[in-house]
Amino acid sequence: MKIRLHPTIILEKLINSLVFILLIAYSFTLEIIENAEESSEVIKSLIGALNSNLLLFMLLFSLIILIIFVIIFTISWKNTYLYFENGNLIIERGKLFKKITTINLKDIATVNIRRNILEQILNTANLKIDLHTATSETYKGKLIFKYDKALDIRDEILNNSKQNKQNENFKSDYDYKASDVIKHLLLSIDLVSLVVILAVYSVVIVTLCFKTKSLISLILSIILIIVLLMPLIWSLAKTYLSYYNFKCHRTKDHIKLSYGALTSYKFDLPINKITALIIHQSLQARLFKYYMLEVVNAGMGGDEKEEKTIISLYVNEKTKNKLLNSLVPEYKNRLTLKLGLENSLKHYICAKLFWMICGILLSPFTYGITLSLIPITIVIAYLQYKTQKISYNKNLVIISNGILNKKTVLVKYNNIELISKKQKIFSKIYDTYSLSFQIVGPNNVIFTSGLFSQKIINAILKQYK
Amino acid sequence: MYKALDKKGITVMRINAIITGLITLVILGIGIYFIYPLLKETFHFVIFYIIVGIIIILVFLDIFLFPRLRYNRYSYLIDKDRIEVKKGLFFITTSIILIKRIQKVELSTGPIDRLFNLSNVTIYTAAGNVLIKFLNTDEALKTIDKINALLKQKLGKKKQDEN
Repeated sequence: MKIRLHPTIILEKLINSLVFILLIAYSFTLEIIENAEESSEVIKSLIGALNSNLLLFMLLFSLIILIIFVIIFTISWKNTYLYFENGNLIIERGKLFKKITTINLKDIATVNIRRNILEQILNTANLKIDLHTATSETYKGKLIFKYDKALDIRDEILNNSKQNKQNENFKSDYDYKASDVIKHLLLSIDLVSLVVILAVYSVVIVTLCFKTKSLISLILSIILIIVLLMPLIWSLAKTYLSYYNFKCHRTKDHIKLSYGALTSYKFDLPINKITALIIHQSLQARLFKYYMLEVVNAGMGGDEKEEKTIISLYVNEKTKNKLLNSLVPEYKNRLTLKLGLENSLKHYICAKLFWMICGILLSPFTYGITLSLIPITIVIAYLQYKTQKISYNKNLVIISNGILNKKTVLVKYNNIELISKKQKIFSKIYDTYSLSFQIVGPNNVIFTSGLFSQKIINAILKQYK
Repeated sequence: MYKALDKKGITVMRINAIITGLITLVILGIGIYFIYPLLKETFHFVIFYIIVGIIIILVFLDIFLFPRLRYNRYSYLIDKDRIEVKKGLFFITTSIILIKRIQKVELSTGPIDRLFNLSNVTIYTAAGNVLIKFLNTDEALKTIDKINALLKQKLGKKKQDEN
């Protein structure tokens, strides 16, 4: 049976093209009015009738273009179908330039549901099909259906029939309250960037306050400060809204994920497609012992950065352990992470000083600045050394690194596609090597460890079979 | 046992380095022509001399010394269940691919490589690839056959295990 998309796709496409339509109408109107004298009698009379009213003229043109777009989008909608045939999902598009996309159902990694505000009002949803290929592609076209229909199609594709639909309003494994989202927001802030931004703003505010004498210019300065702060406030508000109503639940072989207020995301992640687990900690999260969990999914397309597969917002250690047990017991880490060797600290310091000396040799006049950076460099090297850890057993390898923020990656050997041992300039002197491995994920993911002795690195390489 | 590359690889690396070096020196010459009058009699003039000197030294090292070092460090091993490729100049990388992870093997050859009967073999996995450069074309074809045979063997074994 051929399934046609929901007609609201025409409306969505029109809204998306509105700016474009207005731009065309505006430039077209300007051109006609500028060349009015050379125009035909019909246009001349039209201009006369409208009494050279630019706005009216522009609206008229917008309407004409809008009607043309409506016709094009309606033809496109009438000729777009989706159907199943011989184990394939077939998507037919267009009449004049017909395009038939055949996707083998076995190649589909996940089917997710995404809803923006308009779709939530119209009770429709956009199906996002991620393919399990080497490059983790995503089907690019928009597939808008009535919400229930979208769930049915998703179930049919995933061959899960009614079970998914019944569990659609699932209960989260951990109940995230609004305060948890705010906590997550505060712990996710990049403190270094914040300090830099606030320093710049402080300079602007102080300069304006000292230079401002009249009341009007003082008000204008305050408005300017608010305008300058807007991107920061917007970014915080956007993060809050994107993780609003965060829910995550583990079924037998899937992780169900749903979050977002303005645009809601619903993911159904098959467990066998998860290639790595990442535990994030920002600087403030490290201080207060909070953790955020993310999974790398082999089927997710990497085209939309916002769609991160975070399976837990920032939570405390006890909740993190509980969530690791319930959401990804396969990755439960029972290994103690070893600290980097003493020699790696020397390696980090020497390598950084070596590049500094190269810089001084290349630009002898900046040696003052370069030399003043030496204490900071040593602190960075020490932080890097303190954060780097590695651990392994016969199934799993765990690495953690970072400077202020910390990232711990857990990967199973059978998910590693390519593993490399890296020897750097000072590696032979200090017996410190690093390890990097590539796994399937959005845009293919590479993780690199800190510096460890050859004995540890070789032992991990031996386990890779 | 790790295998070394074809010795003709050094010559190909040198020819490539000469071409790249010539392009670099031409760009450098154009740069000097325009920047020299501007920096003359300023203290940046010394930095300018240092940078130009370093670039010229690097071009010469890339032609005369680095190909030999790269050749000595470049080696590969094809075992019954893994392929290891060691390469680099100052940063040496040893990459390991399991035979069962291989998705595609590709043979490629450039115009200079063809003059010396050399080819490159690229081994692809789902998330990355490894390149074995400067193999004698016959050796490269044999390597591909060997990898394909090992892959078939692995797949056969996997099917047997599944049954």
